[in-house]
Amino acid sequence: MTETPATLPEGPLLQIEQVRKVFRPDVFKPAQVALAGLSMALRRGQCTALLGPNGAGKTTTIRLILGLIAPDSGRVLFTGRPMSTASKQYIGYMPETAKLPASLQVAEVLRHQLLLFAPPHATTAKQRRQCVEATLAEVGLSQHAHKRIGRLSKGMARRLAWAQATIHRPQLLILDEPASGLDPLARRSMLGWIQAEKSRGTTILLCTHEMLQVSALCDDYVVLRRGHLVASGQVAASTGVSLSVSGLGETGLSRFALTEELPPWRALRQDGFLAELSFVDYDGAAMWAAALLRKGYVVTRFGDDYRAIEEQLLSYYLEEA
Amino acid sequence: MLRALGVVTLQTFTLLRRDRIFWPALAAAMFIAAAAAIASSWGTEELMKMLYDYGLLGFQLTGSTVAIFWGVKMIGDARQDGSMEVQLAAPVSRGLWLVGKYCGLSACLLMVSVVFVVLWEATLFVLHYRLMGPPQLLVFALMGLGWLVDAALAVFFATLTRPSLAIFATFAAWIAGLSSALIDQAMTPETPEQLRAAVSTIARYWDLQQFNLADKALEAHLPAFAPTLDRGLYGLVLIAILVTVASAISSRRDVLPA
Repeated sequence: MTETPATLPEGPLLQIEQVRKVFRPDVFKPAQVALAGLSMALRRGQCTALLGPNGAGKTTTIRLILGLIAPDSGRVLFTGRPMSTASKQYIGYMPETAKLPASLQVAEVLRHQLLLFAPPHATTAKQRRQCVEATLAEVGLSQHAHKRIGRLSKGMARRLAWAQATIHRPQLLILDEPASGLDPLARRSMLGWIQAEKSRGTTILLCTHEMLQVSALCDDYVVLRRGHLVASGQVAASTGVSLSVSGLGETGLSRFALTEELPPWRALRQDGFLAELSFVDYDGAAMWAAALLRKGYVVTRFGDDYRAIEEQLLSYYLEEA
Repeated sequence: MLRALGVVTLQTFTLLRRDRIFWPALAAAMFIAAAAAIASSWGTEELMKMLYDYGLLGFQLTGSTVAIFWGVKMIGDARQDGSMEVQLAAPVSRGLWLVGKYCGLSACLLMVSVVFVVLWEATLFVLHYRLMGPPQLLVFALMGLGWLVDAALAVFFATLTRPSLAIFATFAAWIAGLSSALIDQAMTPETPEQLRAAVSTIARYWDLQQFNLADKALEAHLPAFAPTLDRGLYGLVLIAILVTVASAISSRRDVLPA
């Protein structure tokens, strides 16, 4: 009997255990180790960022999860059981580019997707039609339902890819560079949709190079390099909130903190008259900002600080370059 | 499983239809019908026989070419545009996906054979010849089966290698069977026994022209039941073997970017 998503057992939704994958493109060319004993897990309902420079093994990891390639050793478990064709029932996949047949129509793709996945909310023809219409309206493609995919703009194709990945309401959503090539407005919509999907409890694996997306959307992160997992953790523990202020030196800031009884900062960076303070949480940063503004200083920036992860990542990128 | 098979088949049929699979077949059929009509009116042999000889040869070559080119192309395109990756991310096994692709192509080829039959009947009607009866329809049916075998061969090679090589390999395999039959007929008693046996075996089992019964098209009665049934069943067995092996190979191969 097929399990419904509601009865999926507790524990990590997806586990990758000691997976090794070597590509042998040609007998005359050396073998390439794409993944060298990778182990990681996706916490249920959380968004995990899959990070790393090009060639680190991110796409190979995604393909392994989807069963498009088989590991040489190790295994991929979905809800504690080996990944199978049936497990893919609960997975949605949005590739980096619109990998859909150019001559199919927009609505056809979604209808076929519903027929393939047969989700409980779209079992009859009428339900499928309604579901396709609602999804197209949600992503703003209602006017293009009968347009062929080859004639869509890049932004429309990305929206369709999103619709195709989510129309069956998956439990695990795998997103490969979902906002790549989008204009700022479309990017904002895409991030909003991901956020909404996350708040519905969907587990998300987000493959990206953009730290803004990581800090805005992700709970966990995993960094790959040359097929090895080199860092992982919770985004909240590695990021924080920072503010920039002009006209204060380090000594001034210390004295200021004592007089105002403000919480300690986590890190301080100075460049001439500019100072940047980072805090582990929003409250500390907000108290500092308020105090500085009261004294007439200019707070030039207030926002997320993901420098710790970013600098670590950049060091890997530089080494690869 | 059947639902997934149905969706892949439907999608493949739609894609092939939009890829204009029917246009070259239709154009070729019209050209062949016209050319056969002209040739038969100029010929010195029996007009009806010439009409059928030229017409069926043209139909057979057109159908086989369509089956081979589109059979290879549909697999190559799915790899090239990445749609294979997205479709296999759904609950569809790789083997089943390939069977669905083959079924979609087969549905198109059956449509092509219907187009040919209708056009041929129209040609016969316009030229005031006797319309087709059961023997002629059986010839067309077996010819259609031959195309399905060609398509299975094309899909088999397309699973193994890149499109250009797959087309070459399919035609090479097809010609190997055809030439083995010609060589078999040309061999004399002086030919070494073992060589004769080997060529005869290849000709017997691999000559895909065995599904072309053009020489029996003008017979008043149906061809003998047993050998015709044997040919039909053998064609189905060939299709089953080729598609099953291709499906098994596909299940073990990684889906890599083009």
